[in-house]
Amino acid sequence: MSDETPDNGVTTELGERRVRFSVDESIYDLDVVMGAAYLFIDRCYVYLDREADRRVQVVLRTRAAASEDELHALAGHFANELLNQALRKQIGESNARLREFIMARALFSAEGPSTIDRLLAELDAEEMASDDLDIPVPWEKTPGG
Amino acid sequence: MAEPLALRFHKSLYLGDAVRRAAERFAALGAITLGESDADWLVSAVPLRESVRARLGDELSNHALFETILARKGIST
Amino acid sequence: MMNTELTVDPRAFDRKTVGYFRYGVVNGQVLMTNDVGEHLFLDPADFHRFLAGQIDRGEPLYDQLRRRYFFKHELDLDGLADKLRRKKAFLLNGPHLHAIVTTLRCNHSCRYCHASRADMDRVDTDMSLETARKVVDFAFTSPTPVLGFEFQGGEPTANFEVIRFVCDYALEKNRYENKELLLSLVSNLTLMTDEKMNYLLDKGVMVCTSLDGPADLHDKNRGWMEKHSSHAAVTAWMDKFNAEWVRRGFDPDLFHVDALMTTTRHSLSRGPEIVDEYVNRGIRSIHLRPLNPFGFAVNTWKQIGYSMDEFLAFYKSTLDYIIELNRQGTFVQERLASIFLTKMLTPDDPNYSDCRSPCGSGSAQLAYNFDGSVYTDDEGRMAAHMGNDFFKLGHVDTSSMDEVLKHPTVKALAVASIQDALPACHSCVHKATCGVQPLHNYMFDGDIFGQRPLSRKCQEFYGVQQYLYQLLSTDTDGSLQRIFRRWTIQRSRPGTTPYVPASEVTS
Repeated sequence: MSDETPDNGVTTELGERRVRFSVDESIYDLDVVMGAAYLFIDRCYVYLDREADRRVQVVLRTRAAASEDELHALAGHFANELLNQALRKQIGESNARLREFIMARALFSAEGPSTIDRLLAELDAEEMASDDLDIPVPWEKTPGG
Repeated sequence: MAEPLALRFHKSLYLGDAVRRAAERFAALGAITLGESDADWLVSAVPLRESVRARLGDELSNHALFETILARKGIST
Repeated sequence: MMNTELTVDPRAFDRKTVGYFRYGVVNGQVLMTNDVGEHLFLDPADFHRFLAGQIDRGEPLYDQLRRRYFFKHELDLDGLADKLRRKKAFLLNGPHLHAIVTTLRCNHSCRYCHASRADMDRVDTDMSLETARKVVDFAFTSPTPVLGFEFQGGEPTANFEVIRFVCDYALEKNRYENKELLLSLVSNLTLMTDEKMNYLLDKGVMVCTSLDGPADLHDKNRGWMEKHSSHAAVTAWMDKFNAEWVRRGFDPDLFHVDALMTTTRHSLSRGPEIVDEYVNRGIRSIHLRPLNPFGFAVNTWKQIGYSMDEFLAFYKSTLDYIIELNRQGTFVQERLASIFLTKMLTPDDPNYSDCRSPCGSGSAQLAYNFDGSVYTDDEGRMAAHMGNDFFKLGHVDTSSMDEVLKHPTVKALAVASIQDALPACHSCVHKATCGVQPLHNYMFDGDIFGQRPLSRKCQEFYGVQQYLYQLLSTDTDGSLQRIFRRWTIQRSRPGTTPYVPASEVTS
């Protein structure tokens, strides 16, 4: 049995107790794929392979027996988790310097008052050029769902 | 003697030290030897009992993923 | 640890306005949390507007997000740093909790006990007075302004001479050290006498015992080596202590025997009865503690063990009952909920060693075996008893506090419990209010870095926090939050700090 869903960066193939994904690494980087896969190890055995350049194959083998519907749902959850992990990564990266500053200030610093405007201006000056992510919306739900 | 279980972990995805630590972790379940090809870290495991064959490969894979994620964060167990 | 049941579009992300936060889904709402423990529920549509930078200044929601530090461009840096400093204040002190194993001897043989116990004739497992003196001297070198000694065992009162010596010596020594000194005893109370009781009361030693519920349940769990009821003996002494505190003019809400309960399979259907047993004895705090599933024979675990799903069902229904009692005017709190609620609803952290980041093993608490060996905590001592000395930090004869605090094991445990570095923890919605105890990972999995999604402790903490937020999300009239806030108020006993038992595993 198989289910091809080519428009969201993830293609899926089902087998007995087994779901296979092919993830486009130019859309979801490896940290995102691994972060998502790790959240499934309580229900699945996870195996990653290099399908092609910039494509990661993810195999989830369920710990317990699973119906075809359940495997489909697992595939949907995984695709959804990729989006959430990608968002979390963005939130983390865009605030990393700010968090470091606040942590240092809280625990180690005795400097005078700071303003967010001054700090953001400093950070803006260093801001890396940030390409817009090309992440499509998954097939099952629309934002807000 | 049981047939060896052959696992491979692509070098662009898994770290060698992580695979080694995973293999050490499950050494009690079988005789495990490590090797490598150009592309992969190779694990050959002869399970102590046939009943642990699938589990050995599955758990070792999960652990190699876990160790790789930790190592990518700069943490070594 | 669950997947995120929410579909998001990472392209619609406004990096100029969105500050750092974590998120998850509770009751169909998006729960947002941040590093200082602030939280806010948003409906998914508002959440997506927030991500896209589309919340207008004129909206009430804007101010709610701003005040809770979710807007990057509106951050009050000094206010946020102050809050973070207060939340992490526990990092600035040395070990404050010092567990002293006065003996391994015990007259009980509890079915779930992990403490390395010995039979009552094994006096060779008693701590000597000379070692006790060195333990006190060693503990006093901790830089902490608050110093607690907790007597554990075995059954610590089997070697009462050492308890008496430590109390007298520590109190005398503190006349010059001027720390805030807390003395406590974890005992099954079955070796208590009037003379010992009066000594403990005279010295202000707070007592904590084990009470698993009504008599039949308690006695089923406890293998006392006498023919009569352990429950009867324990409760008789609890009542006697409590009456004596009152007779001496102390507030019974603050000065009473505390108790710890351990949940076995036999407890799962009896939550309300267990709570009633506590309330009827004047105990206003109950900690619904799950069994730790290590060190059991397979058959024993089959008889008394259970899945974490079964425990969480028990926990939730019993918590519901406790809340209902509060609504009816009876104050009683569940302790794990109180710990999490303090983190969720107040600017403080209760410094609970098992739920901190980094953990408190070796840095907030130490344990001293009867022979003077120093361990990260009591679980570290038990791990050593099971054959692994990794958690042994030194010996009071030969080690200094500085050497102990800089021990590689203490550093390793800290690294293994810093959630920002742990996969799954670092992005978990409950990260700011949760914590990791690497010793649990080690005891369960043989590795201080446990795989969080497989960890029973993670499942327990995640499940309890998820349920507390679920309850808060439906608290439309604020009545539940008023009850919960009362649970977070720790009234200090005069001359002492709030009593926090370290013995979360021992019986």
